Amino acid sequence: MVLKVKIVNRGFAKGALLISRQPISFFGGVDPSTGVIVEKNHPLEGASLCRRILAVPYSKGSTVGSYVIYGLAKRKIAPSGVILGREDSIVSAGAILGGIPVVLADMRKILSSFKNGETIILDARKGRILRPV
Amino acid sequence: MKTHITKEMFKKILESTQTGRKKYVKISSAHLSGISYLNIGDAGLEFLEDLGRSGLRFRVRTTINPGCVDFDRVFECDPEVVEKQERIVRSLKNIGAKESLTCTPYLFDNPLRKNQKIAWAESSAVLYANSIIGASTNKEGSLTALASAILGYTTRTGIHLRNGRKPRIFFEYDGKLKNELDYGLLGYVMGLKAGAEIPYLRLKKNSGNIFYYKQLLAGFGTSGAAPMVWIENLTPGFLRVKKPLRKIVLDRSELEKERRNLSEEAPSSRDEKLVFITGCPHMSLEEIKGFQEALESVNRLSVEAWVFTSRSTYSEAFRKSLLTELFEKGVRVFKDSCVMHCSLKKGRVHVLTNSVKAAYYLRGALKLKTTLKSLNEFIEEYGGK
Repeated sequence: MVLKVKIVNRGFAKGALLISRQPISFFGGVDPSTGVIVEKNHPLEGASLCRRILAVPYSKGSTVGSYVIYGLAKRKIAPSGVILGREDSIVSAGAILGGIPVVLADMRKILSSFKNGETIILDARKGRILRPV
Repeated sequence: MKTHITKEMFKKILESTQTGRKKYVKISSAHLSGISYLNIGDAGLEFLEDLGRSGLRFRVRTTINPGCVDFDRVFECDPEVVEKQERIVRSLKNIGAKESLTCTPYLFDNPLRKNQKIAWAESSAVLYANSIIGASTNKEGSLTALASAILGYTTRTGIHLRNGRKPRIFFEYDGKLKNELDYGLLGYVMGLKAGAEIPYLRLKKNSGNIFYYKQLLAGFGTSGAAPMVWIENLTPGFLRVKKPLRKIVLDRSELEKERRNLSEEAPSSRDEKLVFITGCPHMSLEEIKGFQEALESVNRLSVEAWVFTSRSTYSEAFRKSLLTELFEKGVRVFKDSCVMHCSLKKGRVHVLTNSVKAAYYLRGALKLKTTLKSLNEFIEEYGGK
């Protein structure tokens, strides 16, 4: 299974996939000291972003979200890669500053091709997502 | 972890906002938002301090938005907030920003000329620069403006394209506009209807007071996404529109509706502290003079009045003795900060304001009650002989 994706920030990551069907607010919605989603009633409330490959349709809320992603990366508790459903300058800018690979993909294809929690490889040098062999 | 913020990262940030072939335009001025500690918090402070240590410098004249503290009235804020706000400003100053701390940089700190290409964040200043001065800037985000300040160029998109300044929608307003609040409301209504499209505006009669348009544009920038408004007989430049534009006639009732949406019944000052706040965007010298003259007709004010302005305007106003009357009537004049002020963060305050933008954000971000009042309405209702 190889899924072609568009590169936003180049890089390479391997990790457990964390799929969020709902958008995430990084400022206010994520604890900057732990990387855990703390937004009340978010489907992923309590889940940790740390070293996961996060698939999220887009982000919501304050543009300060970029700085939160940067801070998580600095503390090594950020996602190791991000798959976005559509262009999102808040996530992209934060990930670029934090050195996190980012790609754009069709969220429906992600949902139909991969299972939440399975280990995947995000190859944002060649623009593809695959399962490790 | 050792931080390493590089120029390459900022190039990538500008790249990531474009699809297809990447195109850029040189700029000669930048203005940054995301300065207030109340807004960017510890995450932003940490990033800006790392940036301050990165060795990067701003390549063009760069000014900054207000913070949340007036550095001459620090006792009104939590000492931790003051200290962190200071660190934010110091970091930016160290890499070449002018310590302007204002949302009206076009008045003194970052003057512009027609056709100048710039990268400005802060919507009200973007709208003013494009629509009144005839400069060119998109509504940059905090980070794209920062990237442009460091790189000396921005993306050639939106307003920088050949047809980027063309209006796509035509507004006509036949009613009367009595004061700055009416102009602000009209701008706000236009923004709601225009979405991302640049509007052309025809009024029955243009006001001679340029600062009424400052309110109109700040209101427009609050609800709309476009970077400019073509104001008939005011916006500099030459316009040729081949196709007739979609026309919308606006009337007074729409202004009144939005006024009600942003207003609560003003309480009797006993149950809640009432404060009149003006200076969003920051007051100009002329506006301060207008306020001073209006105050001459009353002996005292029955509620507190706060004025926000830039430190540059403050010094000028002070030098020209425009502030004496304000001080005598107990008006508090703040600089370096804006209506999203540290002391309002958790206050039980009901805000009266003549700014649509201020009302919108005080309700949304600080969850305060607001009532819209023009400056003259305020003085009539709360001024005593």
